[in-house]
Amino acid sequence: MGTAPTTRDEVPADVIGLSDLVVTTESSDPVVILRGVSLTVRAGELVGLVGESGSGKSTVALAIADLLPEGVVRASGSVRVNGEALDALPAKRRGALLGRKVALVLQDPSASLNPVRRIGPQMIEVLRFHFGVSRAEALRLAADRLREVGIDDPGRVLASYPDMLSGGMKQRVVIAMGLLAGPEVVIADEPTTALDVRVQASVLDLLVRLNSEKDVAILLVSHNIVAVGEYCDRVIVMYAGTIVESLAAADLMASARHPYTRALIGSVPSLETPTQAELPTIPGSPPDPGDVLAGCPFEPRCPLARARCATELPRRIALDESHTVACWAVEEELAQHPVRLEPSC
Amino acid sequence: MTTTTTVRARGSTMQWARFLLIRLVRAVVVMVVLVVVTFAMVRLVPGDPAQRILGMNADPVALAATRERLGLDAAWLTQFADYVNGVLTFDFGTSFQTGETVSKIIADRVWPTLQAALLAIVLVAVGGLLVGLWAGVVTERRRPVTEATFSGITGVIGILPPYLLGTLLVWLFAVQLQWLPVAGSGSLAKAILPAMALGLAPMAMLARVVRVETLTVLGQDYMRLARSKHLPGIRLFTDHLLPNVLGPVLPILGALSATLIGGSVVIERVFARPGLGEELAQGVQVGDFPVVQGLVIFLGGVVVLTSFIADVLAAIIDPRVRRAVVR
Repeated sequence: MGTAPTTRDEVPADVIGLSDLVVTTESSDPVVILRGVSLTVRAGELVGLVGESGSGKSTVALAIADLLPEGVVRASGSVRVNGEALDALPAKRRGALLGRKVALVLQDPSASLNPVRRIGPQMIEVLRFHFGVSRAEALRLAADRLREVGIDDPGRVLASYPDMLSGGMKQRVVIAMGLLAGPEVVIADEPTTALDVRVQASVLDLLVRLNSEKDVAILLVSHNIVAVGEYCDRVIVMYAGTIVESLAAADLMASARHPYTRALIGSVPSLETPTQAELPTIPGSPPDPGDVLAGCPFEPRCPLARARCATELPRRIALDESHTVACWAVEEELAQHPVRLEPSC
Repeated sequence: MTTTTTVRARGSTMQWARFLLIRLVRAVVVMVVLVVVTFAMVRLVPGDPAQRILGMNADPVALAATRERLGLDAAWLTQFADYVNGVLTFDFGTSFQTGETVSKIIADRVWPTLQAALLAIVLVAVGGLLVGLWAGVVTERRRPVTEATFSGITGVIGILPPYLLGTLLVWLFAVQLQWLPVAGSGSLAKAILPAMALGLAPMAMLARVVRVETLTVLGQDYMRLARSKHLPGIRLFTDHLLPNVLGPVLPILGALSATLIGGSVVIERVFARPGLGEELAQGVQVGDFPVVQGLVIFLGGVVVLTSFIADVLAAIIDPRVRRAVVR
């Protein structure tokens, strides 16, 4: 939490709160995509949401932005943004709230900008329509934001069409565009996956810098648990539509308890990994979205699986104030050796 | 913002100049080919125009005189030179049959043809876009019944030939409902049925294309990002959805317009409209070279102009179109 402001309230307010969110497809035989997800993002916090494809991490991002694709619905649970439950708001107020407070950065910057419009007009839309700022003033603010994200010639960029810019530039533009409205939180869904390796780090650095300088919370959705561990304050790990573990990023390497989290950490190569060495992989594959799961979704692939895991969904238990995990094996171990799991400080 | 404006102006003026040049060259090439083909075509058709004019038992001396009067005794190259010279000055010669100048024939007869064609183009453009956009937005919510209904109706209308559709429309609107006149020309009302007969099938086809384009655009990340701004719906439509749909659709509309102009020539016989089609058909029958050449060149010019306009409009709306051409 090194980036959290110290001058504010002791406990910053939640900018995002999901509580027991269930998302399914809209059909007579619904496919469950999220099976009761609860998480919070506090003001100014940098949270990483990690999981493999199909784990539901992007669905979480879209549910917060109220942009679930057609045919996919929130079946139960609630989404709160800036303390307001989206369901309780009339459509217009909800749009105004999300338009101002939540900014979205998507995976592929080349697809994220409207190809037939110049950067300027599409950047300033939110300012024009949610804040009533004049065109000239909005363009001036847009140029300021572009400089902040490291673009030296904002005039040229504002007059350009998206396909005249490089991928890294476009992602900076998308980030600057998101920042224009002064949002409380930026939801970045795999913001570097489509970028050149050299550019990836600079975009992540930019997000971290903006997080600390502008005090804007960031929910960084990623499949790279090690990168997220390095950049974020807190890491939330998802598997098959459930949150399996949530802990401070500083504790990730040493204290992660869920077998899936441990496996994820183990499967990421580092610079020290010999190039010839076979990378450890997680045997098996995640359940299909249509599968009916009685127990823990990770049970078929889990080295610690026991009888209970196949029949009963593990509950999330708190190991300490910043660490929760949903695993029967961990819970049993905790019951046997309670002392070992006390917080160290 | 002065630097911005100058950079924008310089870069895009050059691009526009090159885009327009390339498109103009293409239009000119098409016209040149058309001039050559029309010239060759009427002369390759068997039969002697002088013989047709004077009858099978005509006096050889009279035939020779007629050939000389019509300029048919000259070498082909000389005829071609005269012809090209005429085309460049909008002088397509005079009709073998009536002695009227072809320009005058066009001027007198163009309106019934053009009126129906233009009305059909408007119908295809407006109807096809509105129906297609509507269907796209509605069927985004995976509604199999709506989707099947749309595909079924547009599919059936799309394959009906204009004269069959024309007959059906006349029966429905003129005979049964008596809302519109059966045939003839002059008023706009009389052009509505021919325009519908011509335009309904292409309109249905365009609506299908527009629906698919709409679904494609709606699924793009930039639409998701635009939606995340929670703008008023109308801005989302006019600034993000519509221009991205129009880019690929306008050139298709241009091509459809060309067939509508050609179709108008055919359909006017069904609706007894005294347009260019009647003249063209007669000209072909009797081998009236100047009339056939003149009308084909004129109609071809209108088609080339129409698709040129469609291409330029597409380039105005979608910068990628003109960059793709210039590159």
